[in-house]
Amino acid sequence: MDALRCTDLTRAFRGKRAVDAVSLALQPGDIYGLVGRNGAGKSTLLKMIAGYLAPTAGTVEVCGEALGPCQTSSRIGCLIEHPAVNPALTGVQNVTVRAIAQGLPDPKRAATEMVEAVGLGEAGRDRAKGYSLGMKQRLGLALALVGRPDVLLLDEPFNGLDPEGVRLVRRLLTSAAEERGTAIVISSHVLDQLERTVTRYGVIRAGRLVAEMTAAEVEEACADYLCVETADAPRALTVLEQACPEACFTVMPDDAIRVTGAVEAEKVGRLLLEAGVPVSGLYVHARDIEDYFVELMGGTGAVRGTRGGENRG
Amino acid sequence: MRTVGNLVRAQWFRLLHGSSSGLFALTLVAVAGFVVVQFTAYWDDCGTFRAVLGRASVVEVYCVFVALYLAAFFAEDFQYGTVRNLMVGKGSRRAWALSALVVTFGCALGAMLLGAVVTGVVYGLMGGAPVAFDIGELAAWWLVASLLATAFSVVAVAVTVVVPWAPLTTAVVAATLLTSGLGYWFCQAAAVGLPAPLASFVTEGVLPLTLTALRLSLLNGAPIEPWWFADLALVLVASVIIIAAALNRKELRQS
Repeated sequence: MDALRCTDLTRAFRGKRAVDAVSLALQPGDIYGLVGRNGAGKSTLLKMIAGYLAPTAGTVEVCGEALGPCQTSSRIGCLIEHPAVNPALTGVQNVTVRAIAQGLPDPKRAATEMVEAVGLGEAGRDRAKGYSLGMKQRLGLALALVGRPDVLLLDEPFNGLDPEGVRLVRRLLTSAAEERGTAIVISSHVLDQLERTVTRYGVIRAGRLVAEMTAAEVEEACADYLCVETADAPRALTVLEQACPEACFTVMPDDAIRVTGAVEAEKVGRLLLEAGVPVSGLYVHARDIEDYFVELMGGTGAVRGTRGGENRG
Repeated sequence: MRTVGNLVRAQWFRLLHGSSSGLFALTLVAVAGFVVVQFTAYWDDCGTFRAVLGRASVVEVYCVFVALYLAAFFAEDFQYGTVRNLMVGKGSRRAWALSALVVTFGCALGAMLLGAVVTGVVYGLMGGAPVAFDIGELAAWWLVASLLATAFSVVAVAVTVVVPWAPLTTAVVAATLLTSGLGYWFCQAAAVGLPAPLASFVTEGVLPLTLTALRLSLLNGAPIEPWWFADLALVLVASVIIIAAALNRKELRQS
């Protein structure tokens, strides 16, 4: 059974579709990274799944239970946009309120444990009005995690966290997914953190889910390769294939040869020189995850405009 | 019902631990002191038990503070987006409306009891003329006064939920307008300029049913009528339905 299934989820604001027929399914233990430019519809999608915003069309199922429009579920924990923190209460009290509402048997204990788990420690006994952005973010995570939900929806969970906090959050999420089978959706622009955390990716562009891939597929697509630029690609290919059977060669549309596998640039250069093949360029091409996703998200054009001038993720 | 119970407990916890809860308690005690001052002006005017409770301005003053405080308290859920933390499953939005009603009624009962006790003690200490104490009459007064304070508060909360912006400001403005009776006085003044049939409908059919008219009746020690309960129950039910309906499709976010 899917932990989370959305079918054709759509939301239109004044006739303009912020989210357009998005369908996705998560198995227990999946960590799904949602990537997209500002205003692509990520936060709107998460809000509809969470039951904070009514969809114009489409359905949401959590662990087999169909949720009505604007229906929340005790199985879902959320941190969407800003942490929902009451500044007049302490960190522990904020989480206790949620724990009581969830009907947990020992809400104060559950809240204290969760505040400790997110690394707030002694600060959990201070009023939240004095919290820094990172501390509020940690508290927001505690609010999302209390009650051990089956599905976690996190919008920019690494926002404002110090390096130690980032590592802690990554560890918390990974252990929730691996040990308890929590399905997690993370919307974030911090791609290097996503790369270390998620098992699957979804790319959302102008409200539509335009691509889905596994972490392994992304890793493969972003692997470094050796690029050989030559005026005589067929002969260079013959020489290299004979000399380096363990490597993999691809001739690109511009006749450059892409070499992947265990082969050194120095060796390739020497082989081509000895064979008298003219070489105009020989370099290692590093394509990082950012380049890859920027391409998928639709290049580096302007941010998509949204209602009320807001930037929605 | 379990969700309602959990949300009542959660809101109660928030009420007791919020920074302004101590201030609220202090305010009620200060208002109790104000009751003493009021007595010096009106105490020889109190011929009946009801009049003693009413003339001390318990209803007049406590209604204002209870409505202002509680309207702002529930508005905080929308101001900070903490209403999201109370959404824990199917029916949570309706449960929020019912929990607001229950918590408000509990607070109103407490505030009115505090006021009644202070009134009785002060009246005795100041050597007021003996009036026949009637536990049934006290219970009826206490209930109707508490329902009235609850109605003012819940109507203000309904306005806060319906209006899509500035929840805290809206709550305070709504509670102030309602409890000050400005709407009542406006309708009364406007009725003078209305055509005769409409004016008589407003002055005889509408204004006597309003919360302000009930407040004035309690203040003046008028006999408690059974229809007051029906009127207040109707206002409360309508307000809770409005809150639940407005919340049903409202986007839950930080203001």
